[in-house]
Amino acid sequence: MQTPEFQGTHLWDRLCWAKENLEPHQSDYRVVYEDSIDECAKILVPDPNWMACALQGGILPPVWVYHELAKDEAQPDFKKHTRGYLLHQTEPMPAMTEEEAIEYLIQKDIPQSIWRTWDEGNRPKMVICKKEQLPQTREWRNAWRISDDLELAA
Amino acid sequence: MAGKIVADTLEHSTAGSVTTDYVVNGSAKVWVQFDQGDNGVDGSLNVSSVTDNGVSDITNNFSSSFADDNYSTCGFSGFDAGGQNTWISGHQSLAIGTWKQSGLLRAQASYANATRNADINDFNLIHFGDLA
Repeated sequence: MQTPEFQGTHLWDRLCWAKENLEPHQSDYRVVYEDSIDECAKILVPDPNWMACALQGGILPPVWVYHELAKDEAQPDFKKHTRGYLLHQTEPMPAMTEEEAIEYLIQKDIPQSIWRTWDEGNRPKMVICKKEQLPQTREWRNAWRISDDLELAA
Repeated sequence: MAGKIVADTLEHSTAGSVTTDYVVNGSAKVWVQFDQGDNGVDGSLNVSSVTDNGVSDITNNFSSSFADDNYSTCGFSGFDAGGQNTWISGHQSLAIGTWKQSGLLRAQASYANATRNADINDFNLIHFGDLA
């Protein structure tokens, strides 16, 4: 299905179009990361409707738009977004592969302090894996950590 | 887009009329059903991902952000088996600016007796408000 010309259309309207017209895509990828020594490992689960948008192309804004909005929100005098137009007016991303979509999602939904320095330090702070590589039961879920013995692929 | 209707008012023959502002502003802008046991999103609108933070603790990340953090949220939790004695709240040990932002909401489900938490099979969140 051809994506309509969406630049200038509110992102929410685009997502409603996608929900109506695209088949959700359940990704097997999961991103495991640790952002606090006081908390267990977290697992990022891609949304199937969002993944369908990423694979389709022409719907989602570039990830830097979210970073700009996050910068605005981090200002002490922030009241309300005044640059929301970036979500709607910026040229949408072309179709991504599933792997590219996961990289985009990492940069959107995982703290920058994690993904910018994921492999610095004594052990990795973030790992992309398949769902079946997670422990098969949720036993001791709140004690899950990324293994020290992990062999990292380039 | 095909099928687009532009109207400021909807009028019923006998029941009166309502401006479409109410329809637009009154619609849920984000909703999600997350199965923590299966670690998957079962249904959603305007969600980019869900982060499983631990037992009964998730973060709902939005695609189209809200204008600010003054949106309204409601939640519902349920289990495949019995023991439905839970409620959903913001994260208990974080300040609101951390668990509630324009682009995400972190929610926690708690047992009413507060003796233990459990993975939520049917973790539902719905958000209403003005989008950016």
